[in-house]
Amino acid sequence: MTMTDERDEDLFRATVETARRRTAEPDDALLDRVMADADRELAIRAPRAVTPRARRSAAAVLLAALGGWGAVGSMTTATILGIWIGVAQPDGLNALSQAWSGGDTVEVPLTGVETLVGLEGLL
Amino acid sequence: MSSDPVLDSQSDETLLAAYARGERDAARILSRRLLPRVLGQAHRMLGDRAEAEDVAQEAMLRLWRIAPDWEADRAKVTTWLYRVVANLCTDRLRKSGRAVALEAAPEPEDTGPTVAAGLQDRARHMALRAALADLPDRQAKAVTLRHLEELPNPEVARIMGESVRTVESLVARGKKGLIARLRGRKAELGYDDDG
Repeated sequence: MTMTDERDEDLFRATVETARRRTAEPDDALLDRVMADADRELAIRAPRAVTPRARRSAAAVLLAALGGWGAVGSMTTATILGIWIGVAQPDGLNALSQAWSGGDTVEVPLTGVETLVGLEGLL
Repeated sequence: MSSDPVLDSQSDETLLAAYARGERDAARILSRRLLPRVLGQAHRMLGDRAEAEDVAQEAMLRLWRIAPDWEADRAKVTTWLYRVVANLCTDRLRKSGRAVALEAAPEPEDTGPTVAAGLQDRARHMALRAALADLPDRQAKAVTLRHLEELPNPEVARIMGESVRTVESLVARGKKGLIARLRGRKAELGYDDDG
């Protein structure tokens, strides 16, 4: 390294060290400004962030899945009954099976493979 | 001021996610943790407290705004902030012009051992500022991150989105450029050629 290089290096180092010594502690006023910005940004986003999604009943969900009242209106009764059987509880189906058998003594659940076997000869 | 020890122990990235969910306390802890670094970086680059505060506030505002979209694996918050502050400062340096008149510089703060030393520090910093303003942006960012913030080259590379090799070149050229611009002002800056 030449003498000039050394002097240049000293010049650079001294200038940089002067700048490095500049530390700045944020005061309360700056912190307040920064927090005011943070609060403002939260407030801007709040309506979007906290709006809950409306809860819908099971019937409303089913209706929506079928395409709304317009679509349901064009379905036949049998179609709607079939859909209902698909979602209803077994207790309801058992009652239905009794009504169809025409008597009090026949109770054949409509759920399960054995159902059709049990009905043979009775209907 | 009371602080939440659980929040206090969280990483910057976790706190930013908490703020995005609406936790104001997370923003306060982040501010207390990050502001000294952000303000210090801006102050070292600009040499002016009021300007540095404006940059620090703007950088933090950008952090609040990006919080909902922050991807946890994207980068460290500090890396992102170094980049934002460097960009904001080089923009200001560019706008302030290449010739920074000492007369227009702010009065020195009462931190120096003597008034004379304070004036000399001020002159040196304004000379550095003028020289940085005159450098190409990438060189100015690289040389300040490397030599003023004392970050290793790989970290500078992450901040700038450059390869380490490119950063090494930018730092070397930036340093050479700064020296060339400072050389003519040695006496003014109080450097003794014989010393």
